[in-house]
Amino acid sequence: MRAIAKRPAIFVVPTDDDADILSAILEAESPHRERARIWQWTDIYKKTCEALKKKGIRWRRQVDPAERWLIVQSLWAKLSCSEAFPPTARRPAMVKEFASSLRELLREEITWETYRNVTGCKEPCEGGPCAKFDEVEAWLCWLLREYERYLQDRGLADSAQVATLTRELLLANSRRLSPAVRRYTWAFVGFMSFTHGQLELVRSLLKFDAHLCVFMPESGTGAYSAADQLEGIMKKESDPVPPPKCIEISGATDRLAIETALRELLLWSLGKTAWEGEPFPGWENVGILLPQDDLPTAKEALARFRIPYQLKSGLSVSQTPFWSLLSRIFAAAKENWPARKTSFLLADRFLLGESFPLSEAAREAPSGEEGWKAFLKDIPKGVEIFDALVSFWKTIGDGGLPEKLLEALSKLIGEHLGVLHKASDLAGEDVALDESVRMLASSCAEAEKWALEHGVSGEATDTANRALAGDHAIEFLRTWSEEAILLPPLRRRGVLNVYVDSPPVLAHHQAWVLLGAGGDRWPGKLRESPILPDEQKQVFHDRNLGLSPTHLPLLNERREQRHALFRRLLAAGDEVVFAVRPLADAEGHPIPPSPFFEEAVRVETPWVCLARSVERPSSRALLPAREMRFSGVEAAADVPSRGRALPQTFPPARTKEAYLGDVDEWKGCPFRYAASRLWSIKEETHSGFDPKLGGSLLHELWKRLWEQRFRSGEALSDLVEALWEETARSFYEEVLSRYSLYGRRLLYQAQRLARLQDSLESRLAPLRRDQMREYPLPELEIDGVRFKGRADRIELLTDGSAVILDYKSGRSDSYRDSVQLSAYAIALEETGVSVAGYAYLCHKDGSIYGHFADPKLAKIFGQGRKKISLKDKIDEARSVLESMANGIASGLFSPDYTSKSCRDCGYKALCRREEIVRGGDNDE
Amino acid sequence: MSNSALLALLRTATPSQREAITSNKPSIVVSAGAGTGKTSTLAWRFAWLVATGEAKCDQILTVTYTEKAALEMALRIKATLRSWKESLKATGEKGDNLFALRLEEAERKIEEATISTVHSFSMDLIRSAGSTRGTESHRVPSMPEEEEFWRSVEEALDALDSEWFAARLRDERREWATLLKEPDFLDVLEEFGTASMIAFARSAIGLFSSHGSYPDDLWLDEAALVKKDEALASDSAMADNLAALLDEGDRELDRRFRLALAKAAALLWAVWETQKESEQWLSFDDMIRYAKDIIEEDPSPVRRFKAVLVDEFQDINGVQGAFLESLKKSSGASLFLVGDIKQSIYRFRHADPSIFARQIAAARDGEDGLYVAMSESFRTRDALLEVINDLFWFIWRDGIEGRSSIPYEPIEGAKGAPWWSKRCSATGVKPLTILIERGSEDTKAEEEREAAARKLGAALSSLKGKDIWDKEKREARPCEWKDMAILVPARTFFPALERVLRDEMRLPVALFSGMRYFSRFEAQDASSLLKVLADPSDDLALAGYLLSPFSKLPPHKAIDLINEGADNGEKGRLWKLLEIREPEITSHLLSSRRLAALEGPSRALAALIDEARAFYALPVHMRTGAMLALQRAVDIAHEYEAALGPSLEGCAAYLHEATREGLKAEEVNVDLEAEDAIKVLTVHAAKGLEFPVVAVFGLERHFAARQGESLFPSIPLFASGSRFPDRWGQKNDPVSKKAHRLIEEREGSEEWKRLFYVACTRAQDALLLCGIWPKKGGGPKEGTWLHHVFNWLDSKGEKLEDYDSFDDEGTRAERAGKKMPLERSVALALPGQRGGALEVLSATAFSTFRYCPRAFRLKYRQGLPLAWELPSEEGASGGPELGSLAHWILARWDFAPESLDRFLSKKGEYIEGLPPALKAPFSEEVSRRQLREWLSGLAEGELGQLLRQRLSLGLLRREVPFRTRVGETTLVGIVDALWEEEGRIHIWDYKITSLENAPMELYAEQMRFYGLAWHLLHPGRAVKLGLCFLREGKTEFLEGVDFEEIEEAVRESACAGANGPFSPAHARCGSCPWRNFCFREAATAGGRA
Ligand code: SF4
Repeated sequence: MRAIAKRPAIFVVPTDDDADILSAILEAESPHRERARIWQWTDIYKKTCEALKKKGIRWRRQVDPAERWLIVQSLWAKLSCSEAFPPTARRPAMVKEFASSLRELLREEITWETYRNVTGCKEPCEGGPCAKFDEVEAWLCWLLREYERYLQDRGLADSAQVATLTRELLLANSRRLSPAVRRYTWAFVGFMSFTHGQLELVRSLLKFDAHLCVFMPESGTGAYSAADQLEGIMKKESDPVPPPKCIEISGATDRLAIETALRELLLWSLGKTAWEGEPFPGWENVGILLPQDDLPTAKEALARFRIPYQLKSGLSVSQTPFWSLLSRIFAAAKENWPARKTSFLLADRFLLGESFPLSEAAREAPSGEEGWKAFLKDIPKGVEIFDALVSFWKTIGDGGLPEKLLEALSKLIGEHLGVLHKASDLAGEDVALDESVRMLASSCAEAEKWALEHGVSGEATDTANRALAGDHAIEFLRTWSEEAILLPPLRRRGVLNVYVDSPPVLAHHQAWVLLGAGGDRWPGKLRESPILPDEQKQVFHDRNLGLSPTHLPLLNERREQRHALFRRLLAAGDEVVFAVRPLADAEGHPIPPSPFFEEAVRVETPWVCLARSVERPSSRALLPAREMRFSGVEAAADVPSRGRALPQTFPPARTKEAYLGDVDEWKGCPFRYAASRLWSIKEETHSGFDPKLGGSLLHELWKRLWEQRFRSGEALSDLVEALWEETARSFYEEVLSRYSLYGRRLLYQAQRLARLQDSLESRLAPLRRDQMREYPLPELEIDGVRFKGRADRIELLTDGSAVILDYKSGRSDSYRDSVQLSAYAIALEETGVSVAGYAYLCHKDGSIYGHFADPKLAKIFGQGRKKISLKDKIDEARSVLESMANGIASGLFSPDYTSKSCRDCGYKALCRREEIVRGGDNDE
Repeated sequence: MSNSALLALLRTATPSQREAITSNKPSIVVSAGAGTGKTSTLAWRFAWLVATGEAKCDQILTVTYTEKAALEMALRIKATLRSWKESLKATGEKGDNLFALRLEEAERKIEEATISTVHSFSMDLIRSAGSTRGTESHRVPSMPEEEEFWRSVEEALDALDSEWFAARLRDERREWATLLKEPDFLDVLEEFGTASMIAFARSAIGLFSSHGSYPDDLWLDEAALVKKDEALASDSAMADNLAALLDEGDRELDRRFRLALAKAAALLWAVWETQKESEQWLSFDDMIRYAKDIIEEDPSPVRRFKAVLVDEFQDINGVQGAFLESLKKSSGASLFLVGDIKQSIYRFRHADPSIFARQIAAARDGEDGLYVAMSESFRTRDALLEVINDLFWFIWRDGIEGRSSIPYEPIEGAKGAPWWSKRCSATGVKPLTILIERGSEDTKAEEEREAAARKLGAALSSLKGKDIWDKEKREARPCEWKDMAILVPARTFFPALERVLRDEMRLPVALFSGMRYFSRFEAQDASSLLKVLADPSDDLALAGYLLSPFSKLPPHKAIDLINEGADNGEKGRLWKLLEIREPEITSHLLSSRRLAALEGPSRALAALIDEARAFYALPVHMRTGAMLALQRAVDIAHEYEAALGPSLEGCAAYLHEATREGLKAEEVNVDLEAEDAIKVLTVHAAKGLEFPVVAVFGLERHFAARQGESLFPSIPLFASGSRFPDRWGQKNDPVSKKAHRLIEEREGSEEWKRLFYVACTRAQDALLLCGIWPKKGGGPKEGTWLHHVFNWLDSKGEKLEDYDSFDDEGTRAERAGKKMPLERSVALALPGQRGGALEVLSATAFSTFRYCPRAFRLKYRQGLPLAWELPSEEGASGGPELGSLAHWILARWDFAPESLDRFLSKKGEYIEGLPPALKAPFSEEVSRRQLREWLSGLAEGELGQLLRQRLSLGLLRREVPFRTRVGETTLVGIVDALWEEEGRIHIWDYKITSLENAPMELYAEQMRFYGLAWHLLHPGRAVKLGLCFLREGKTEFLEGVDFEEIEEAVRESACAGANGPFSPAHARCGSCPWRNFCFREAATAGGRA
């Protein structure tokens, strides 16, 4: 390429990255020459200004994207503050749309005057926005004028104007500048097509008689290209190259597609490809292009196959953990620190980490600033960290200059929360985590840098001096985060190159992997600009019949541009290209192949030569043993299982003690019993109101009620109200405040059961000899296991027999199968007391379920005839106890997968229920 | 020009298809019986419109029910356009050229045609109307976002936080928050609980919004409800029944109940609306509603449409129906609606088949309409069709869809097709087999189900190898496993089928289950893992993880550990024990935990997939499913992260709650066509599919109004519940509950018949019906499919048994041949790969690495702001900024003391060009004073003189960048000052540290690097290296640099800098300029450990 000219050359490329690539190419061609001049449009502008410095020409600094947003935002605010302005259009999101339309116009050199001429608007509009409040067209018109003026007045420029500004300078000073221009060969490298402004600049260089050459990427499509633009002016310079070989890969999901592509590469690198491939060029000569959304999955797959790689594209701050942390802070703050969101935020390792008591927070559910401060007061650093969040949010709410906002942001993350230190600490010895730390650190640095540059030196622009608050402040920060691009990590040799979203035009590698090559992206859904719709653009095209008409691309042209781009991307593989696509998107919607791809591989005119297609449907998520795969990280689908099952017998219990009260638990599912009682694995308590605590509150209440009743002789129902509050306060205070809904219910249930017992009492009291509460039952020994228990209440009757009573929070019909009280009866009878019956006093439905030997007694308790007699029940209990004793002694804790307890059982992951009886019985 | 050439293209169409396709009525309704070629009809209609010039391809809107159908439809249309074009070109007369041209253009521009679901079409309208309506970035909320919102509602409802609600209500609705104080509402809430209330509200929102209602429609007062009830009792088809029912109970109480519920739904709906608004979310119904508003306000985006084609019209719901109406109105397009009311089975998604019924009626009666019933099947052979027609003629003898009494339209074979008679005679299987299992007194239901499955398995085995018709190839071939499907009315039947067919009989089966992803063990295990990572002291989660296959610990070992830890009751004991017993597992978990904290929980989950070993523990038939399920878990974590941020704790809680509550989410399924296996699927999932052999299993099942829901919404009644609140002291069930059940039963059992129809009509060659005869007398339960079949046969004087025979020969042979020879396994070792050296190495990076690799890592790999912290020097200031300012001046100054003012006074001429970062140090008086002191010192000294002189001779170069290479690495840097003299290169670097505190080693490495670089650039010349300490005005020379040695060091550092290790150089800590930073690190790390 160097050989192009006898004169020294100036290369003009689209981006920094292209400059790097070009310089590497040139260096490889002639390593010892001094570095070539590789410029971008802005460099031409800058140098032109420098050359004209003496003439008093001042270089107009280009605003950065965040600054541009600020400017357009302030203009927009001015425009939309009028009453008559439609409120739906007043959204901050509009600013971005308008900024991009303004740039589209400027790039095509459509100034405000042209715009006004073309639209034929005759409205007077000096001194304030015009009155056409309901016309997008008019808004754009006004904004365009104001934007141009704003920049000009302050010696600023938009990058979209640069080519135009340069050309104007060149033409105005042609005599002075022409020797310099003529001295060089101007080589334009890597432009698929020029914008109107650029094109005019190139043409004006020709007028200077400069030596020009254009190296432009071919696409073989009908897209309007640089060649068409320069037709008749220049001849094309490009050599035909043979089309690369193409491997088409499709996978059921994104992940399967990506994995398949990577394993194909890996196999290739080991010389094991199933296709006739070139020799593997080495990782350094392989590039991957992936859409941003695929980055996480690709990273996972690269880690899985241990393929060394480097990111060649810098990510924006918005794509880093820095921004996601910030978004979470905003989300929690906006809702005034609600319990759940704030808990998760504070528990994050970048904030309080382990010292934050998550389960306590779930129970107490603090919220609001005050609530949280009270909750956090005893936690080390708790208040400090929370205060930092609150005061940052206050800064946002009160508003501030943009640079102040960014400064506060960087201080919050870097200093007050100490995120960088924590992150570095978390990375520990694992160097693979360094990059995540760097993302955080560089984002912080980037914020600081912006603040510094626009703070002290911000005289040039007064928009930076407009304070932003609330949503506007957040919108600004968001825009900044999207536009602030971080440097990619230190570059290494010998590793795979990963590009995100769009590679530099000049990027190419011997082998190239194009991910996301399906019809969902190519062409994807193209939409007309809502502000500058095609119809409007057409008007410009029709009325603006200059010599070189400006051209705002219409929808079908944009499609053609996409087509050309797609082809360029395929051609970025010098020898081999992998076109990879998922067959369905994340929601499972099918993705068709890209029509561009179908055209590119068409045999008559191949752009790439289809060598092989690899499909990975979900049934091949695991590959059969006969196919090659990587041991350790890829399991074969059909190698016989090594087998794995829950043991049939378990270690015998380490204790020979058990509780009679657990007999139902055992009966329901021995495994569940073992897990909860023997291995003491606590079942998880839900957040919010704690029903267990509610249950013990009721037990305590009954104890106190009966004591009081015997003391004063008052009816239970008259006492409940009086004792309730005091008992609640000492046992579960929240039922009086936060959980008053539940308190209300408990109280109601207690009252109802009290009334029921009062009515019983008239019949029962005459028979009573004594009442025992919380009565420790005599120990019962079966097969060496000692059973203990405590009865809630025992009524000793005058005939010496006893009735056992128990308070339950459930509904009476759920105790039909219970043997708990029959088991109590066995223990009690050991001591010679005869048990006349038992009953469960159930809160949930306020009724009683029980068994009695004597029908008369049964009637007192409101119980009708039962199919099963008390004796049967007791026998059943005995046999359950025996099996329980036996099980405990010998470790027989098999899960009962058909048990009723399964429904809400928290041990499903332990007993492997779903692994063993998949599907279960719950229906859709 | 005559259409005869086009008509010729339709010669394979049936007469009714032709009638519909070629009609020019503005409203055409087509009833397309099962297998009658719906898709072709639509594709033909499309091509017809294009060819005749009635519409261009972008003027036709084609609406399908699913995205998948849209894609298939597009392919079909494209293929049709092409084949028509080609036939016309080949055979057509001259005059037909125009047709061909039109078709060709359409084929080329097919992408411009709108072929999509009604939702994505609406979404497009919404997006493009974005700028004026503010909807450009509206979207459907993700599942975690929606769930998190409802959790916060639950939180607020639990605490009766009326302020929370008030803050989320707009305008007049703000009043609604007082509901939280109304006793009736409180009674209901207290009785049923917040979770049920929310579940109720969510289903009410779904139901009512699909009917086009708004929250305000549910905010009723008593009078309004009375009025509605009266209307209901007078004009419903069941008026008598209902009226009688309503009179039975306490109507007053019932209304209070319903009012409280309706208002509750209205309230929760209203806050949901606010949430959607502020987050810019749309529900699926919203999409359609918005789109309708858009086109009603400004029809321009749809005006181009001349024809609208709609598929599966029977499944449309109220809002969609209204949208299509208004689309027709705004665009003036003709409508072509295709559907089959007999196949309407999406009541649970609020499909309303009566819309279709009304359209049919209108098309039949109206001037502008045409109604066509397509009844020629290309799917099912005549013998089987006869059976199906006979059966459903019987079932629907009183008409389909009770109210509208549409008669059953029998399906006929496509007799017109030349291959049809061959097709009908080619099959070697019985058209209908009925398999009935009769249980005995002491068999359990599950056992009976298994016995029935056994019978079915034997029957299917006997069919394997018999001739069936291959629809693609149009020839007979032997039946394979993949040609068979078992259809069940509900997933309840899956376990029995799986146990018997797969585990016991060893038949290949593939089960396609529905929405219970979160009940899968893989989801639970993923949740256990995340919970452990969030909190290792969570014993339950840890035990779950240890027992899962993914911990790779054999279950008995895990149990032993769990048992061993039991004595110690304290929380977190299992972790402690694990640390001692299985340190490898704990350290692995700890590193996953760090990964999760830094890179998000999904990364930690993704690591699970990489462990091949874990999968080998699972039986072969579960393995692929397990892999897919885990991949799904990772995707769900991604989804969570994208919506709510990469919070480990949050994501763990979300996944945990989702598995605990069995949230509905699509199952992972392997592709339907991929495996040679008997497919087991629900009838719903089989919709739109066909199989040579279809077995319908579970004939004994009865339609059951949804059970287990204590509160439910209802369109005519608004809402009701299973019981009144206890407090109300009413033991009887609410009358509205009974009324609701009555309506449900009626509509549900209608749909139950249609479900049976869909099931039976999936069959091409053979249909097997399997059921269990009830133990109790009285025959099959009314409304079951078995009941229908029994009555049908009975009406013909036949018996079930007449159809119960099959040949059971093949079974044993099959079983014997079952063992698959194991093929050799090809496993490759994963190559250990290491990247190469750094691409670029700068002088500072090199010296930092040489000084201490850990410092290098912190600064260059982690990008931390390693501040240069020197021991305090006298005069306080001396930070890096001051150094930079000194360098900036030194690069511009002429080394004359008198010109220092131009730089250091506030009005100095150079100030303007000062980079922003240097303005801060410049603004400090002290700094300027100090700099003046240092620089004048330099000017007076020997070096200063030398520099001034070289400068005046034009020899001195300042801030000189260089670039050269060592091996693969490019060396770069900028030298402060440099000149060449007598073949010798002099290189100087300025420092502001005091000599005493200077990290000389660091400086020396930097200078050597400069030396090497210039040595490489100018190999012949000697290099002299000097350091200038500005503070003291002293200089130091670096003597005796061995370039070979230093080149080797550069090579090494470039390689190690890229790949590590980065061990700290402890010996240097004492004088390290970054020690404060680094020690703080160490302190936190130490504190944690
Ligand atoms: S899920 Fe069922 S089988 Fe498993 S422990 Fe719980 S109750 Fe037992």
